[in-house]
Amino acid sequence: MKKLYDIVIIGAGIAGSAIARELSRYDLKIALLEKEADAAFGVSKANSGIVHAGFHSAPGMVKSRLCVRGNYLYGELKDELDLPFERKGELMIARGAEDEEKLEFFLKQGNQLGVPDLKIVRGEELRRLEPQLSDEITAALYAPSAGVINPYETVYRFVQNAMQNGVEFFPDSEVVAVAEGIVETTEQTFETKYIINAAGLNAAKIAEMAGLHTFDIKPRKGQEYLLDRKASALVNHVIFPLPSKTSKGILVIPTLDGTVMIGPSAEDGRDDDTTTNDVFDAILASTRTIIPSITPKLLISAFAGVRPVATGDDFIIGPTGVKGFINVAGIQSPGLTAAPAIAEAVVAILKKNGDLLLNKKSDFIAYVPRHPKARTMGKEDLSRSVALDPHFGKLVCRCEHVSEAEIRQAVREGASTLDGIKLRTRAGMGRCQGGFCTYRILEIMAEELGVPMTELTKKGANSALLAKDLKNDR
Amino acid sequence: MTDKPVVIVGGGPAGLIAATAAAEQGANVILVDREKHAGGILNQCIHTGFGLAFYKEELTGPEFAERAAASALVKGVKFMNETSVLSVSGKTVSVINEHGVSDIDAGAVVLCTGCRERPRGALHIPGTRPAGVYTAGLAQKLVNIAGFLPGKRIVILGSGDIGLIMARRLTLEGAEVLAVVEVMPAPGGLRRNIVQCLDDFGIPLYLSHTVTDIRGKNRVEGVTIAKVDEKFNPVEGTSFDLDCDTLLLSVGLIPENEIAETAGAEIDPASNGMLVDENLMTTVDGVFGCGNALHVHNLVDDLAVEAAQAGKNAALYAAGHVFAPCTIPVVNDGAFGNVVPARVSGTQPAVIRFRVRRPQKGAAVSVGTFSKRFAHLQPNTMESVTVPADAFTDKKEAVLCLNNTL
Amino acid sequence: MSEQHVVTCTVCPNGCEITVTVENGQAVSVSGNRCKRGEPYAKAEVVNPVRTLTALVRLNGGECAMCPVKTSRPVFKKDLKALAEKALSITVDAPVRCGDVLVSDFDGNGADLLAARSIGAKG
Ligand SMILES: Cc1cc2nc3c(=O)[nH]c(=O)nc-3n(C[C@H](O)[C@H](O)[C@H](O)COP(=O)(O)OP(=O)(O)OC[C@H]3O[C@@H](n4cnc5c(N)ncnc54)[C@H](O)[C@@H]3O)c2cc1C
Ligand SMILES: Cc1cc2nc3c(=O)[nH]c(=O)nc-3n(C[C@H](O)[C@H](O)[C@H](O)COP(=O)(O)OP(=O)(O)OC[C@H]3O[C@@H](n4cnc5c(N)ncnc54)[C@H](O)[C@@H]3O)c2cc1C
Ligand code: SF4
Repeated sequence: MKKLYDIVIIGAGIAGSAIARELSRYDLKIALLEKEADAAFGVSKANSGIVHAGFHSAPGMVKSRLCVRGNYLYGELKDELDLPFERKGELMIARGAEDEEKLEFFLKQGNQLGVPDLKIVRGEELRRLEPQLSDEITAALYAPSAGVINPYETVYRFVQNAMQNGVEFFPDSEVVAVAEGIVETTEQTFETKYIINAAGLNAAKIAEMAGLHTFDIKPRKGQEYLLDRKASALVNHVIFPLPSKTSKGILVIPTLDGTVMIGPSAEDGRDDDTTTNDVFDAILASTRTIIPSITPKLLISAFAGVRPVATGDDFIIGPTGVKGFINVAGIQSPGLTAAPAIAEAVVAILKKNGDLLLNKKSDFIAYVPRHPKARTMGKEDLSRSVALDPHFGKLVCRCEHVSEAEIRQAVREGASTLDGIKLRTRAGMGRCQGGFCTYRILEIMAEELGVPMTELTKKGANSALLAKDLKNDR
Repeated sequence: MTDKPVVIVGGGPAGLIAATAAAEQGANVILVDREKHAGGILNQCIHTGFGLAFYKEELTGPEFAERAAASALVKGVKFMNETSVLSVSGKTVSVINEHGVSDIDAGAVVLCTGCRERPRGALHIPGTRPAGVYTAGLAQKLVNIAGFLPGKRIVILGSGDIGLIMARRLTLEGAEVLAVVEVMPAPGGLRRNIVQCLDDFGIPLYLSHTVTDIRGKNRVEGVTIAKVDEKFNPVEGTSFDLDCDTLLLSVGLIPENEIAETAGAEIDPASNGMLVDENLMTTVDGVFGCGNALHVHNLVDDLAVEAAQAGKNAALYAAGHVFAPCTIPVVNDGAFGNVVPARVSGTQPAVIRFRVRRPQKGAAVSVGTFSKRFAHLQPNTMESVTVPADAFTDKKEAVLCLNNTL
Repeated sequence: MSEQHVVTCTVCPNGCEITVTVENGQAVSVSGNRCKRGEPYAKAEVVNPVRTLTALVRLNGGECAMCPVKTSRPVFKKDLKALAEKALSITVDAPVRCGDVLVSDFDGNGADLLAARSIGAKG
C-alpha cells in the first residue's frame, strides 16, 4: 500500500530532525525516514558537541550565516525543549605577536557576521578565565555566545517533539529508490509532494537516485578522545588553536556531562569509525601545548565521526532540477550549530515555492520538559519521583546514576538497541563503560520490548549481543 | 558512647565480614547493598578457590558468600538490600531504594564498594566499535548468572585471573577460546590458573603480545595480534589475524571509590584506592575502608582479615574509642606497586600490605628496625608484614624498603 | 626405570612446583610441595589427573536462570568437558539449597553433583 505525504525527510540526524520539528508546527503530513535502528546513529552521534559562535568561516558562505543564526536559535530552543545546552564560551588562542594578528582578523570577521560580544583577552583576564592555560599563550579571542550541547540528546528531543506534533518516524527504513514524488524504502513506498534529502554521508547517493549528479560528498574523519570527570577541573571554556585550512584544529572541550573531550582530527578520505594510536598521540601532544596538566591516564573512551564534505566545501541547501526534491547536503561542521537555522531555511524554501499550504497548527506543542534524571535531581525531587514511580529508586548504572525508570522511559520512547539506551540515558557511558550495568539493561529491554535476550542488538541489524541462551537453546 | 549504627556500604565479602566483626563488638550494624542478594562479585565466581584459610575449606564464590551472609545474620546485622548509597557526607549516609531517598545518621561508616574493571577506552585499543567487546567480568556475569554465552569464538586480551577463569568457563559451556593475549612478559594471573584454566584445555597463551586492531562493523569479525618489544610497541612483521566474534578484556581492576569521593576521603591517585591509616580509617573521621575498594586483593581470605579489622575498628569508633593519632607517613621506596596503610601511629603493631613492582627471589622487606625475608615475591600477589610498634623508630616517616642482596 | 615430572600444584593459590618421581608407572616420591596436600595432587597429576568441576545446571522457576554446581570430589580431568555438557542438560526445580545432591554418582566414579548456591523460587 502506498501512503500519501506532504513531506518525506530522509535522514534522522541533527539536520533531518531539526527540520522535522520545525515543520511539525504546520498542518502537514510528514514522514521522517532513517536507515538505522534509531535516530542520531549517523554523524550527529560522533562530534565535538560545540555550538560555535560563528567567527570561523568567511562571510558569504552559507555555513557562516547559518552558524551564527543557529547559535542564536539554540537559545530559544533550549527554553522550549529543555535542551541540554550551556553557553560556556569559546577561546581561540594565540602564542605571540604573529598569532595575535590572526586573532584580529577573526575578530573583524566575527563582527562582520554579527557574532555577539567578541573581544580579545590577555594576561590576568585570560588566566582568570582559564587558569591552567600554558604559559606560552599570550592572548585569546573570547566568544561568550559559544556553547556546548549534547548532540544526540538534542536529536532525540527534536524527534520526540516532532512526533508529539504528528510527524511519523520510521527507523530501520533505508531509502533505496527516489523519483519525483516517490520515495521507496526497504520496507515501503511513500508518495509525497516534497522530498528533503538530509542523508548526511549518503546525501550524494540519494541525489543520484533522483537523477541528480551535481555534487559529490567526500568523507573527512575526526577522532575524539574522552577524559574522566577529574579533568573537568582543568578547563572552563571550549579552547581552540588557530585553525588550519581543513579544520578548526585540536580542541579542548568541557562537555555538558562533566567530562572533557579532546579532538577532533581531520583525516580526508577516511570514512570508517576506527581510532588509531598515532592520531591519539598527536591529539594528546597538541592538547598538552594548550593545557599541560592533561595526561593520558585520564582517558576513558574514544570514538570517531565522519564529516560529509560536499564539493565546494559549503552546505548545499536548496531546490533542485527534480520537482519537490530539496537538498540539505554537505552538512559538515558547523552543521550541529547550524541545524535550527537550516530548518528555518527549508521552511523559507517551501514558502517561496508556494504550492504547499503552510498553516500553523493551533495545537502545536512547543514546550516540552525533559524527563527527570536521577543524576541531576536533588534529594527531594528524587524522593518525589520514587513515590510516583518506584523504578526511580533503582539505580541501574552506578557510574552515571541512571535509574531503571529512565531506562524504561528510553525504551518506550523508541530506543530499541543498547546504543540507543546509552545515548538517551548515559547508562554505560561512565567510568566502567557498561561493565556493571549492561546485563541489567538487557534484561529491562527484553522485558519492555517483549523479545528474547538473544535478539537484542548493540546498534541494529547484525550486531547481536549474545550468542547463545544456555537455558533454552540446545 | 553512642548507639548510632555502624553503616557498611557494599555487601560483598568485605562488607559482610566487616559487618559481622562490628556486630561482634556489640554494635548496631546496617549493611547496605544495591543487589537483591548479598555476596558482591562472589556470586558470579562459581569456580572453587575461596575460603581455604578463612573457612578451612575449599569453596566456590557463592558458597563463601552464603556462609559470610549467614554469619552476619546470626550476629544481628540488618540487611538493606536493593538499596544504593548515593553519597556519604560526614557520617550521614544517603541511600535510595524503592521507598525513596533517606539519610542514615551513622556512628561510623565502612566503605566496601569493591572494584570495577578497566574498560576498553582506558586501554585505547584501536579499531572499530562493534558488538562483541566485553570485559571479562561482564562475560562472567552473563554466563554464570544470566546463562548466556556472549560469543562462540573468543579471544581474551589480558591474563588477569578473571580472564583465565573465563577461558575455562567458556570452554566448558561450549565456546571456543582461541587465545589469551598478554602484553607483559609474564602472566597477570596466578600460576595455578594458567595450569587449570589454559593448559588443561590446550588454550594458547601469547606473552609479550597485544591486540593491535579490532575488525567488524556490526559484530566483531576478527582481531589482529602482534608481538611487542620492551617498550610495548608492536614489532613489525609479527602480526597475525584471528577470526573471532568476541574479544574479552581482562586487563585489570580499579578500586571503585565514587562514594569515598563524595565523603571527601583522599584517594591515592596511583592506585585509585582510599588512603587509610593503620586502623583502616580514611582521611575522613569515622569513615573506614577495606576490601577491593581499598586495593585489589587476589584472595578473599586475605581480604577477610582486613575487613574484620575495619569492622571491628568502626564499632570501636562508634562506641567512643579514640585511636592513637597516626602521624607517621608510610613511604614506598619505589619498589612497590602500592602500599597500605598510608599512615601509622607507632604505638601498636601495624599490618602493612604491599605488592612488588618486579618479581623478587629471596628479598627482604623492611620498615624501621623490622625486616622480613621472602622466598618469592610476585607483582601479581599481595603480601603483608606485621610490624611491631617499637620498630617505628623514626617518627617522621616509615620507609618500606625492598632489599635484594642476592 | 625412574623418571621425573614437574607439576604445578593447583590445590591452593601458592602454586608450588612439585617434582614427582615415577617408577614403573607408579609415582613414588614428591618434593617441592610446601604442604602435605600437594603430595596426592602431584601423584595423581602424573598418573591420571583430577579436578573439581564447577558448572551450571538449568533452573526451573527460580530467581536465577541457572544454578551453579560442583562435584563432591575431583573428577578425571579428561572428563571435564563431557561432564560440563552433561550438567547443562540437567534441569532442576527451584528452590535449591546449597549442598543439595542434584545427581548422585554423576561421573560414574562416585562423585555427586551438588548445588553450590541456595536459590529461591521466583515470585
Ligand atoms: C568529529 C566531528 C566533530 C564535529 N564537531 C562539530 C561541532 O563541534 N559543532 C558543530 O556544529 N558541528 C560539528 N560537526 C559537524 C556535525 O556533526 C555535522 O554537521 C552534523 O551532525 C550533520 O548532521 P546530518 O543530520 O546532516 O547528518 P547525520 O547525522 O549523518 O544524519 C543523516 C542520517 O541519514 C541517514 N541515512 C543515510 N542514508 C540513508 C538512506 N539511504 N535512507 C535513510 N536514511 C539514511 C543516516 O543513517 C543518518 O542518520 C562535527 C563533525 C565531526 C565528524
Ligand atoms: C573474577 C574474580 C575471581 C576471583 N577469584 C578468586 C579466587 O579464586 N579465590 C579467592 O580467594 N579470591 C578470588 N577473587 C578475589 C575476591 O573474590 C574479591 O577480591 C572479593 O570478592 C572482593 O570483595 P569486596 O567485598 O571488596 O567487593 P565486591 O565483591 O565487589 O562487593 C562490593 C559490593 O558493594 C556493592 N556496592 C558498591 N557500591 C555501592 C553503593 N554505592 N551502594 C550500595 N552497594 C554498593 C556492590 O554492589 C557489591 O555487592 C576473585 C575476584 C574476582 C573479581
Ligand atoms: S603443595 Fe600445598 S602449599 Fe603448595 S600449592 Fe599445593 S596445596 Fe598449596
